[in-house]
Amino acid sequence: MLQFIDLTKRYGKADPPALQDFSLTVEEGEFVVLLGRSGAGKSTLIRCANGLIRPTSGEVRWKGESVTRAKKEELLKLRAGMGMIFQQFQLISRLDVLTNVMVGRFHHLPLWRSLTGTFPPEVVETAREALHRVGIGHLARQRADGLSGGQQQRVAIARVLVQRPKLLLGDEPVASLDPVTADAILRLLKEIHRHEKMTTILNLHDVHMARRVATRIVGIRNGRLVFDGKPEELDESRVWDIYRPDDDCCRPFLVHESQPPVSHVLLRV
Amino acid sequence: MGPLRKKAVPASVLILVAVVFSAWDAELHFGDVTDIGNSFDFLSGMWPLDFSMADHTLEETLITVEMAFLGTVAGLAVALPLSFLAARNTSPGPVVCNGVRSFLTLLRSIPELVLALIFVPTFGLEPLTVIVAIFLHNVAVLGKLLAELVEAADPGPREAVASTGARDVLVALYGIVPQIFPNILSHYFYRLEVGVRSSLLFGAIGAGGIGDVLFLHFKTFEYAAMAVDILAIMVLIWLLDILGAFFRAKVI
Ligand SMILES: Nc1ncnc2c1ncn2[C@@H]1O[C@H](COP(=O)(O)OP(=O)(O)OP(=O)(O)O)[C@@H](O)[C@H]1O
Ligand SMILES: [Mg+2]
Repeated sequence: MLQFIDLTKRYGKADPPALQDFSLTVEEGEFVVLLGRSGAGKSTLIRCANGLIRPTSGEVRWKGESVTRAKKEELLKLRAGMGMIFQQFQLISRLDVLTNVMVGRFHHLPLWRSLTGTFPPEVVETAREALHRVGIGHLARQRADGLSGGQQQRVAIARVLVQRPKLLLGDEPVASLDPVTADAILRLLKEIHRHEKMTTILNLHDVHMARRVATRIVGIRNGRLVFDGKPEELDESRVWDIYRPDDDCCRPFLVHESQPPVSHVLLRV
Repeated sequence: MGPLRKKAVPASVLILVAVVFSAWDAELHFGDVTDIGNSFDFLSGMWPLDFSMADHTLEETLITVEMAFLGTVAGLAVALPLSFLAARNTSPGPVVCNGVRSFLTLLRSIPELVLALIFVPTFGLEPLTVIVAIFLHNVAVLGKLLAELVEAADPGPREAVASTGARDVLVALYGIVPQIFPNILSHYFYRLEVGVRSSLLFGAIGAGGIGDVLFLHFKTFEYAAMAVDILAIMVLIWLLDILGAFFRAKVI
């Protein structure tokens, strides 16, 4: 169970808060999709979950343990239990695919092994299996930066698989991919969610995709929670609530004759 | 050109005044240019090249390379971890960051030759003195240069490695070092070349190496032998350049 409790994050004193009194509890086994406009605070929220970003106030708890107040060693242990993938994949470009995957075992390997890059055969084998599982077993010895976007995201997912976390965080994992590849990656994530019983939280920019994969959708707007419900509860007016522009000046132009065409487009009805 | 031309006149005047003043104040004897023949005599004394002492020249050239290599390699080994402490994005805290930065700046402000002189009483007029001076100087220079590389590195891979619960040292080693490796190599080879040049100079104080031999030949008027020393140095610098380019091409 992951709890965000009254989270507030300010990057600068003068800036408006990226998150404001944000509370949310995610239960084990859920597949949560966070929706929100650019700058709504989705990335900030997801990075608070594993302590990559420290909130200004409030607390994050994972299975009752505080991520926010954790000491260094505890924090590393908590992070090892949470996998993360990113929009820009963020692989170690100069190293080969297999090594990128084995990074997922670093927390559990003796330090000297990772420092010297001498990994035990069973870890190499685990990494190879994970690569086969995500469908790119043949690329194990390729350099990571030579791969296509979809392949790179598969490498990142394989890294999560060998990490064997209970929670998967994804910061717009398909936003840099073409629609077909994006769909394949989402299917893979959904399959892993079901098969490994991995609680999953993703940021997505596509309402249609969100409704298809999520068991629960959370809408963020200007750092606040504005929607929390099942995919079928996310009707057009709720979508509009999440995405409508702040300044009323744009409203007459966008909302034509009381119909919200923006949400129309977003929903792909 | 419009706005430039406006400032061009006062700027040229200023530069001209500075040139004239400097030349006058330094009491340059331009009249001595009539003695240029002496330099030609000196140069013609180099011909024909005297290879009778070439064995010795090669041995001492090797010593020069070894001194520069040991000093810069040790410098790199110490500078790399220090650079992570000095870089703002990887430093454990502002105290460590500023402390290491100040230390590196202080060390860099001491000329290499002074460093060598400081260690002459300890190690004598020996290669070790030169190695220690090159080592300390390169800790300071490479520490600063590598810290800049670390700060400019893409935070993406770092974040990904950190997200797995890996220790900070692994986040640095896997999340940053591979990215900046080709640049580390470039900097290193440049510093090696500079190290060779400075160990030549240290030869002048008699601490061994090809510089030592060169000045000895100069002082004993053996210009033809000295020419061979110069040739060895030129070939050496040229080889280092090729070697650096070769390794860089390998890792990119
Ligand atoms: N490192 C940072 N320094 C300063 N401000 C930041 C930083 N990261 C985010 N912000 C600000 O915080 C707010 C929320 O940003 P965040 O990245 O969480 O939004 P997001 O919902 O992920 O947006 P996007 O869909 O564009 O990725 C934005 O106003 C952004 O400008
Ligand atoms: Mg974002």
